[in-house]
Amino acid sequence: MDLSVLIVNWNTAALLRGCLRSLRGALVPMKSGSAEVIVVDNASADGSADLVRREFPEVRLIANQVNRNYAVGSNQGLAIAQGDLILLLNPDTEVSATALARLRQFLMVPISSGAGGVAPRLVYPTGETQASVRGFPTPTALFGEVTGFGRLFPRSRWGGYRRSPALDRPMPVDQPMASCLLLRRAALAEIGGFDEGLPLFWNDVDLCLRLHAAGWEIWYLPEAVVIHYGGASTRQVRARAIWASHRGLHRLLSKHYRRRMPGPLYAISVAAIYAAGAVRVALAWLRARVPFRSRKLSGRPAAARPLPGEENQW
Amino acid sequence: MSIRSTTQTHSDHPFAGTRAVLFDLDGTLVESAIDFRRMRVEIARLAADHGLSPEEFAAPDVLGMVRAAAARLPDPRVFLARAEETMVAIEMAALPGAREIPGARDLLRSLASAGLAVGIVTRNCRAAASPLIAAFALQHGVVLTRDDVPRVKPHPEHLLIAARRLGVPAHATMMVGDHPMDVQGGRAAGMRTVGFLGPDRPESVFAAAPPDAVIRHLSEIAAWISPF
Repeated sequence: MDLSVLIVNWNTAALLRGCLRSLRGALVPMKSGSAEVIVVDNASADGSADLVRREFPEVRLIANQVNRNYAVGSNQGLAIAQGDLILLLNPDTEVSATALARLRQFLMVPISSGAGGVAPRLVYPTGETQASVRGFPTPTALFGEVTGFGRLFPRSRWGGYRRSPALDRPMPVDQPMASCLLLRRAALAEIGGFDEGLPLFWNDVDLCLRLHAAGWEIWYLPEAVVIHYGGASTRQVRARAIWASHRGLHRLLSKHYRRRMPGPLYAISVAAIYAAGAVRVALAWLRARVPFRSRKLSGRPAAARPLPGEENQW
Repeated sequence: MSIRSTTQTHSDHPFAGTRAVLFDLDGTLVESAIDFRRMRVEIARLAADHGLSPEEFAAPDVLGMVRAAAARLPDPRVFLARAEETMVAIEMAALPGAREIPGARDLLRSLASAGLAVGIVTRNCRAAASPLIAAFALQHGVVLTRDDVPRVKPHPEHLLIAARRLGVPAHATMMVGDHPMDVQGGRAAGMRTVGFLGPDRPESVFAAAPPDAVIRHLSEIAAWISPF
């Protein structure tokens, strides 16, 4: 089989429907039987699994009875995937046949033999390009990320993690968002799938770090354009997501950089990660409890703010 | 009778001399439950079904997406019919969740009592707009939906036709709406404009097209009406 598309879903039925419909169109040019779509549903309460069964019987569905998180769900899907290429796809995306063909063609040409994966240009529904490529979070960049110095001084080494290259030409990159990432099965087999110790966040960064360590490049291909709505699942659990993100950051630091860091610096970094996490969780908790009308500065909570193009426009 | 300031300086109030007020519907008079995310997804899917890639129909609003996609198709009639059908279905599905924006009914009643002409201009379809207007008893002289005009706001024609039907010149008409497109349309039509923010949205919503005034509650407009 040429291609397996793997989607891990949690409570995003409407978006999932749009995504799967777009995939139906995108897979039309492929030979019958050369592609499969796998959906791993993490016990969604919005009828996502039933939707897949009812409207997309061709999809291979793994319906978990409990939310086994993104990393475990991805590995469940990878375990049954048969394609030589694996497309990791978020349910809040829309993929066209053109975009999919361009991504596949890129990995098929001999010159790309060193590429373990390729990511498209992600755009908002408005067409605006998303900053979907980041640098690797080195200890210095992680420090900048955790303390906020990275945002204050984006051109310094502290800002390395959020610094995005000009996204106007094909290029090898550190780590693109895994919202839509086409990978070689061979490369994935070499590194062994997702780290289940990173359930929701940073697992894509970890994956890219391990691919690079194994000698694989990851490319960005702007002429392949995919609509990405963004953050649909994680917006549902803001405070918990923040804390999970900081725990993941700790694991990432420990896994990839601890050996290269002096002990005291590592200890300070870990303390900073959790201190910053605690502050952000506290702020999220406060925001959720401050009466609606008195929120002068923050406006509506992030979870309720519509994305560009989705606000009331009638 | 026209709008005057409630202060002593009647003549220098920015809205002095207003004889007609046009209102946007969804988000201004009615809290709409239209699922615009779903609408975008469905329209994007429909455009993809017609062989278009996302960059070919990208637009900041749904009707813009539909227009952009239609312009790319040699014969857009089927696409347009399906797009309209999709939008209407989502608009109709939102009717049960709609609520009156606080003060809307009272404001329209007091404007009418004060002798001002009132119009409602909306990008919604007539099938959805009519029951909303009836359900919340929104008093008006004219309603123009997207089914009634060749070009919808922010094109000024939408608002100019409404003003003409009310028999009031554009310079004596005020446009009130919650979206920058309402303000853009009003400005392009030569009208005075009021941006409705509601209790929680920041003024930066209208940064691209600043209105003549912003309000957080509809009753602020009632306060501009001269008491005599």
